[in-house]
Amino acid sequence: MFTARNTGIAGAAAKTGCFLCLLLALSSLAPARASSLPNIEISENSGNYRVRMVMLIHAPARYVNSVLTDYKHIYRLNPAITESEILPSPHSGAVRVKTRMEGCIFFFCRNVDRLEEVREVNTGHLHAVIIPEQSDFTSGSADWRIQPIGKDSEIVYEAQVTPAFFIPPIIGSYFVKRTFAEAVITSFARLECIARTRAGLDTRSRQYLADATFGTTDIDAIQAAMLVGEDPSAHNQPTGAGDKSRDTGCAGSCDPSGGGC
Amino acid sequence: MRRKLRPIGRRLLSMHYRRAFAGGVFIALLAGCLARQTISYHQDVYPVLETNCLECHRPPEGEGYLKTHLSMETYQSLMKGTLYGPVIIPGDSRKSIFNMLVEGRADASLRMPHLQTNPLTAQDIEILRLWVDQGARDN
Repeated sequence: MFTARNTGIAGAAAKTGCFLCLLLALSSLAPARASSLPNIEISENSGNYRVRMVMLIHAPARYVNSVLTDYKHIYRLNPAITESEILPSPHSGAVRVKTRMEGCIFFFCRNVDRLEEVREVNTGHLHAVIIPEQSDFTSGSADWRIQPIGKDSEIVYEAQVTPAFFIPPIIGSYFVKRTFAEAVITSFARLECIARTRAGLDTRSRQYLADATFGTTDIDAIQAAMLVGEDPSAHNQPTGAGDKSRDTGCAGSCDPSGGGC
Repeated sequence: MRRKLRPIGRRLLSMHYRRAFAGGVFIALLAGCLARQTISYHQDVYPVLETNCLECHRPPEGEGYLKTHLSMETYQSLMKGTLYGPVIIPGDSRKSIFNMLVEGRADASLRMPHLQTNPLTAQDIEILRLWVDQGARDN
């Protein structure tokens, strides 16, 4: 299962008392079962955002790697991706992946374009660099390191980006961190689900996380609980028929009644 | 002379604005009517799917079905989606993979339908978009 060590969001809490109150209020909603959580750290310094996440994925490393390098289907990893395109790279062994993501804060939404040059440094290590000229970021890079652990895989994801668009101080920073956290957690949950499907394994084991990140339940409470080190499953509710899902993800391929996938 | 011309000028100007205003109102009403037009799954959407998609997305032999298990035979199977989950988010065509692929918003090689030389017509794409945005109902 996941391992939780700390949450970098604590730095943001110090910036605003209201946010701290919110987190404290939310933290009381769930019992502490830290072992089921990913380790995620998010920090911001002078407009540069850093994310580090360590997570045990219950799928064999080669399937995890195959999903991550399936650039054509990158949209499967995050429902916020509304457009994607694979472009040739002038450098051998690399590929350029262009994505457009939609991010919303309350009713205000904006598209964020990103062009990344991705290369497989060696087996199990992907490195991506943002091309600022065609992105809404002045700089950025990301590393995925996939380590097989028995039949599972440990993924260490480290990324840093500097948005080129205006972000209001304090509140903006908080929402950007939340958006990053949501995107990363969603992508990890989907990654696991797709890798398990490809490996012919059932996808029930992380149903609570899938439901959480796929927005079929109280995503805000779950995300906040995860960020403060609580168990998100406490906020998980059965998926109701006809719910407006924020996701098109792997969770839906499972029988909501608890059957196999 | 000037005094006589002024009212005419004003009148012409006034008529110009009135026409522009009336035209604007007409266009807005038309756009509003189109946007409010309820798209029916059985009457509008299924015929588009039947003509363009079912050849591949029909179990058990369809090529598209074999690849991803996406069956478009029934409303339920369409909403169930692929091996990896639903492809339709009711109410949100921008984030629905179904619309993304028919609109060509993913890699060009994935544009649907695959086997046809001509992509869907703009009208077909609009029908699918409106249907999803209206909640993708079984109506």
